[in-house]
Amino acid sequence: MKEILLRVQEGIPINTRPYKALAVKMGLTEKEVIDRLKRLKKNGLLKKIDMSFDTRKLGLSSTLVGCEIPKKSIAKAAKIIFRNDKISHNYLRDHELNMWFTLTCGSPGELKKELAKLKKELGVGRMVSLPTEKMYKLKMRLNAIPTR
Amino acid sequence: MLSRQDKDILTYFSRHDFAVTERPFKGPAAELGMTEKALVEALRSLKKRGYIRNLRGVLNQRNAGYKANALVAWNVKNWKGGVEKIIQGTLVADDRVSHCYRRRPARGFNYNLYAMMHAGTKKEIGELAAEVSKRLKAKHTILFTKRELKKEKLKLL
Repeated sequence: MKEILLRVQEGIPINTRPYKALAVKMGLTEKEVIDRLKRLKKNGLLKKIDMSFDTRKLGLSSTLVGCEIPKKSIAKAAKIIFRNDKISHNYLRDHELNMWFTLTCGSPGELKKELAKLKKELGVGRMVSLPTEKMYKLKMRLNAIPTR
Repeated sequence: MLSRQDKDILTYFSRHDFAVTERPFKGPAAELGMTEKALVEALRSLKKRGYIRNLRGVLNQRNAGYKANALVAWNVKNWKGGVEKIIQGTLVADDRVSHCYRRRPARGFNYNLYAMMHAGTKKEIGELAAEVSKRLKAKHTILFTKRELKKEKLKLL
């Protein structure tokens, strides 16, 4: 099961029978690969299989935003962020700046406007925006499952 | 350049997960009004041109045993003198690091290098961050993840 988890994170070939291609590489049948992946999804280890895109190549501007949200306003802020289509990730972190999210817009100008709008909506005092300058790594390959 | 059809394809796959069935492109092709073969060819071209990074499985971090997750930020003062080489040799090469970016710092948060780390314990993350700081000769701060509130695909277009 571990091998298939590593392989599927590396990538699935784009052809009409992608799991068959994966099966050949692993010395399994197509059905075995499909059954295993279904089981991994069912037990929650494998969240999903999907496509990732190069947002910069697509001409989009993105930034990481950290803000200081008072404890009593967290639920409200989370709801506003959840409903915002331009925000893909939002986390509570152990820091004065306790809420962190990623914002992606069509242009730097649009990004600036959206940030100003969010600052007002969320009612935050302190908000920092850290625009991407260079990507060194984007690889969600979780390797050896740690022992506890 | 992206054609109208390319855009439709990207929009579709930014909104739908990929099926685990014998012919997973068949359904999407029908919805996009294309043949399965034409869709596969268009996707290959989009990947070759760099618009699509990858088609891959995503694990559930918590279920996979990664109890500790953190955003770690460094304040790198001097970007000359092999800093990028150190970043490649440490953060990029380490499987416990999923994301690593250089970012423009903000007033009040003067850090310019960021990495997402995943490990079994907070201690392990602390040790890894300290090791990188030593090599970079930079100060760091660790922001442990307390709760995931939203994690979605960005809906394109």
